Amino acid sequence: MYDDLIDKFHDRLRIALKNKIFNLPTDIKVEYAPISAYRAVDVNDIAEGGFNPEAFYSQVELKYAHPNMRRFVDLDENDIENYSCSLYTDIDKLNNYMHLPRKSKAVIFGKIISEEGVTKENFQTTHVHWWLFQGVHEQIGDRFEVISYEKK
Amino acid sequence: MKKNKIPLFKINEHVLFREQNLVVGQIPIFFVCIDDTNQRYLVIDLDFDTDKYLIAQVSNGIIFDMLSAKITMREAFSKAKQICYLFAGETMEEDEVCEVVYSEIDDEDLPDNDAYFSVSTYSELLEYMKSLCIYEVKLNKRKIYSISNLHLRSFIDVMDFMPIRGEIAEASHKNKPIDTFFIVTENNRNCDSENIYNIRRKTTRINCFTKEGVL
Repeated sequence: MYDDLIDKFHDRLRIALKNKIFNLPTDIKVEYAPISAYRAVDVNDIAEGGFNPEAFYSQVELKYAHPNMRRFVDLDENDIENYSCSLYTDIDKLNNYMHLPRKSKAVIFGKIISEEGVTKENFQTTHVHWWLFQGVHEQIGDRFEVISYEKK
Repeated sequence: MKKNKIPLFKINEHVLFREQNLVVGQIPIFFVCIDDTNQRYLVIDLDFDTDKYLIAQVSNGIIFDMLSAKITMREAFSKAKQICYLFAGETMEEDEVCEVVYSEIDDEDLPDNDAYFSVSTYSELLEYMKSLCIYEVKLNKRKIYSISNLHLRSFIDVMDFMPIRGEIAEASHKNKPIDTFFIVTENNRNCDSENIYNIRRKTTRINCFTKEGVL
């Protein structure tokens, strides 16, 4: 199932799927109407006029982009959820994030579209997993805007 | 979230493992670690660029109270047994650990004042909270039972997690479940961190009993 999708995903996810580390969940959405959602990001990922592609990286992608950082040492690469870009459709779910100390943090808001990835949505928690296709990270920012920004 | 087998930090010769993520942005920025003695720690990932953390050794009760929004996130840190800054090196052995007292912590490194943790209904955190809920029951000042409130009738509202008057709780004696249900008749919220409650057996109003009979 979904074999035709595998080659479209970003490198890390595509490799894991081809190596059968895991399978795509059977309840993903491939075709869907645009979803408006919020994401917590680091201010360093906000550039003038747009976003650093890392603003939409999954944890696994961030790990390989920053291989010397210890925070990723226990990241479970056998869990497909760590390959998704996480968002929430309810901004209240980011309240905890905004009240925690971070040198730089921001919340961005925009639209998730099916041309750029597949989704799995938890309607109880309002969390959305967005497994992105290869090469879309740079263009996603065109549909997102910063709604909360804090840098110390 | 299952306890991760890969060690994350070492504090005072105790190895810490990630147990439960509490807040995840692009990465987990607030989470609970547990060490090899089952002591728990609240951990804040303070800065992506510098791999700097604030780590507070706290009791299960403090974590539960924080997740239940009975105390603020900042208060949870103020009640810590031990707090330290940790600057991560390339390996655990290269980490720099600086123990501090609460009053020495930079205000910008603590959660906002008056900020209570908000937990989603039906989220995995509710299951995690239940795992923290073990209460000791004493009869005549002797510890008799450990009560787990896994079978509270209502847990949709996280505030109901604490046993309150009228709730039924399942009890265990010497770690074995017993087929007795208790109604909590007194909610001693001002008691010490062991959360001691007076309980009565549902039918006979005797304070405590075992399968073998009344104590």
